Amino acid sequence: MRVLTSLRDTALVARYELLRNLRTWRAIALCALYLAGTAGGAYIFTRGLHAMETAAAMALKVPATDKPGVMTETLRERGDLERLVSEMVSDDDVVVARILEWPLLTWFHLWLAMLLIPFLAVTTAAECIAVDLHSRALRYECVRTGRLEFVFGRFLGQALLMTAASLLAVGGTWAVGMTCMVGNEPIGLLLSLLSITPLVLGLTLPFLGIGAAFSQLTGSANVARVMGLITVVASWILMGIAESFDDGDWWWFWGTFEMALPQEWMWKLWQPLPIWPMGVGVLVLLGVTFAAAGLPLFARRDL
Amino acid sequence: MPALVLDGVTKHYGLLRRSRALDGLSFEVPTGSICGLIGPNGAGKTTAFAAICGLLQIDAGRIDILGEGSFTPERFKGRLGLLPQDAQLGLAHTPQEMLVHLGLLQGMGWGEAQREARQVLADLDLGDRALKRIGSLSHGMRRRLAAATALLGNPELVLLDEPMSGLDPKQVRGLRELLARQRGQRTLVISSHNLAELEMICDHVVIVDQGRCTHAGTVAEVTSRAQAIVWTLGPGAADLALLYEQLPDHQLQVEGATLTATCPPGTDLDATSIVVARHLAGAGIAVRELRRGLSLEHSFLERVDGPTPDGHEEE
Repeated sequence: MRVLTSLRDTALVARYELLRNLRTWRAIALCALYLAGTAGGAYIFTRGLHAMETAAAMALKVPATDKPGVMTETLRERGDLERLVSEMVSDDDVVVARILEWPLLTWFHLWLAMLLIPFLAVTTAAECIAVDLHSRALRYECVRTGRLEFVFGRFLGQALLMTAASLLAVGGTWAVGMTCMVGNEPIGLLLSLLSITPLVLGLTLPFLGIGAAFSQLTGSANVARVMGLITVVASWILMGIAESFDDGDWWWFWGTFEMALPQEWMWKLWQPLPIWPMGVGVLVLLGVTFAAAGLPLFARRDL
Repeated sequence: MPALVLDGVTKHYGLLRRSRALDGLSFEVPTGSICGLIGPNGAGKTTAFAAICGLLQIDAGRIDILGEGSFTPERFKGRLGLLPQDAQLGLAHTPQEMLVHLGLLQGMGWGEAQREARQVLADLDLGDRALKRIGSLSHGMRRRLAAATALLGNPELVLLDEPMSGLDPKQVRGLRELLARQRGQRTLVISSHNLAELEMICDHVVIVDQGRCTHAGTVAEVTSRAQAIVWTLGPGAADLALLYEQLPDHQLQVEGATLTATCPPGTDLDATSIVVARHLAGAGIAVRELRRGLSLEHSFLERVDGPTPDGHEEE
């Protein structure tokens, strides 16, 4: 009964948080940024692809096309694209196979999401509690539900907001694919973009967790945001350090340490079944763990 | 059984815990009463409310709510209402949405939460604003909405921190009448600097100063309602020497145009009133106002600052 009440409260707080976010400039800014980032990135990608295809057409002395995509499909059919991707991912055959299942724009979308989401997620989640700590608005909810439910409700609310932003971003990339490229099936591209949304959400959660953790520690959203962004940058640096020590005497330490970094599991998202769901699962677990990391202090702090 | 018991509650602030907000605060609030919590700024009233609701961690002491121990959200879900003094409301929502959300968190079902929200908004004269954004409401309306959150769902114990603050006189009267109607149905603890308002609705009062309870009891006890009579006089000098002859056991004080008679226990106050009225009429002094007991403000100032020496002429 207690667990059910706890889950109900968490869902209620999440729903209210999502409603609040959808009515403030923050949600609009987040969605606009993400949409602009993915659609703009996709557009730049198509321009780059077009330039490459045009150059290749000139070299092969064949007519160039107005829109990119035709030559890439030809390369895919001839197996050249497979060789190119294989070199990019260090001959990992399973990854190559997985990537080649998707339209070109889909794997670019996932790659771009990996680049953008850590910063977007931390930035938005850093506000989820700190703002109300400052204004003390959380007192209304915290006399009615536990702090655990409150924190995870806010965390879940942010995750729902990121889901909305991710779906919007899918629309942006799909529109670019339909208008600026040829060779994309409308339904096929949409479905493939939607099929990677769980992966995108998986990689969102650890960074939302980092933002939510810092948001519990301070009444200043700006301080929480800066601390979160520093942590994200530091996690990339630590990932690089850990990888460089993979073969050294301390490999076991760095290997274990890597497991706690979201970046380690982000790469699993490119793998085929059953590895990518496991990667998503671990990323969800990391997100929950990171969000809970602020709880020991938040649970004891004066509101 | 008291609805609320604080026993030696201590709370320090600051990294070095040097600032003492509550210093062994102890008092009880009888079940079903309307209790005023009064004290100067910084006395610890808001801290006491926050401690009762578990929003602050206390350093020492014991808080017992409704005879069931200290606050946990699970234990007192929907049974304790709080109007915080300085907590902002979420501006993006509507009052109806906010109250429904809080009602759901209190354990109500969706339909019940909708009904309760509409009811409490109507009670606080906010029915026509139910679907407007909170950000578009005036300060007074927001205060009433905050009060509505505390009264939502008929909680057994309600803590109201400065509920009258920022309200216009009509709204103050409306809220006072609403709170007065709660008497006997639930226990209210109201912190306010508006002592005249508190005196009208409270039956108990707790005076807090420097984090300690300096006095607690019924309003009648605190204002000496059973022992004192206060007259506000028209022009003219009352000859207290003659009056003392007729009321030898009484203590008489004149402060400006106010005559106060403090009677020994067991005195028939009506008889004293008649004696004084006759004396004043004989001296040609009009009586503009007569009241039983001191004002709450007077009693409070005496207990916080000590007896007021200036302006009192004791003869």
